[in-house]
Amino acid sequence: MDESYLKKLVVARLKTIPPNVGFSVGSHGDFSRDQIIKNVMDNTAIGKEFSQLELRMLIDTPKLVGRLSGTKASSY
Amino acid sequence: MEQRLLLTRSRHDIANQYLYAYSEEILDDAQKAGWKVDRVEDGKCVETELDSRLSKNKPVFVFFNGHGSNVSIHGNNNEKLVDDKSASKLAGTIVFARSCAALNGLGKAAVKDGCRAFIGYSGSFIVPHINELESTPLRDQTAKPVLEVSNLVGKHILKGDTVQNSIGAAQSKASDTILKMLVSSEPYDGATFRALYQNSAFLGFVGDPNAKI
Repeated sequence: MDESYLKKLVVARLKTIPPNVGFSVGSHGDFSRDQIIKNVMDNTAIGKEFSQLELRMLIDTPKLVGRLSGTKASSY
Repeated sequence: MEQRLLLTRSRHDIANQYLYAYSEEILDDAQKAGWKVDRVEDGKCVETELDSRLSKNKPVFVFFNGHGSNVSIHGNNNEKLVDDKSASKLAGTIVFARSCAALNGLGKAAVKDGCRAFIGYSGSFIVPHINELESTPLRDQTAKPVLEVSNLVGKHILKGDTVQNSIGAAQSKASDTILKMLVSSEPYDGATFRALYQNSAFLGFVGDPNAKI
């Protein structure tokens, strides 16, 4: 799967979110849905972060129940 | 040991307004349970005030709300409250930092310098919001589940639960909520479960998993 296909996939998924939703991403600031999509297309740090989030969710969804069931907290 | 909570919060941008509004529940719970509460908020949410309250009042639980980085947590107008060089001020406390990334460097430094346990996030903490509801965060149904899940960590610490169990409770609630939202027909749930997933994936701790008040 090439990068442009993955971007299209991520953007298609993000477009299911209503356009009047924003995301506050820590000190990076506030982004509308469409700004996030633009950041994904432009490969910015925020764009990559949201791309990685979408792809992690796609890969992890089958394992979601076990990993987030709270049986063991992540420690460092 | 006096049960004293120190909580920081400010309202200088949208994200902080949401954290401010939803942290009121933590303050209510603490006061109902007989805790003494130090509010370090708004214009007083600065390093000098934090340092003064920490040294004079010796809270056992410190709950930070604010922007963060790998090595610092920030207060009003993003002024630094604490960083990895001044982490010894958190010695003897359990900390919950509702801040981006602070678990990475600051958390480790704090525990190395005597903090009992540092609960936080190792990546960006995301808060979704509906534009029309930004001035009334408590009515915003996209943000509510995200911040209520995060609040569970603080609520469980206040009840005397261990660090490990407090995080487990939050992640369990996140899991249940995400699973319901994945099959939901409500379009706004898409924003919420993404934030829940991100925040839960990055929630963790350094220090004693059995630490409790």
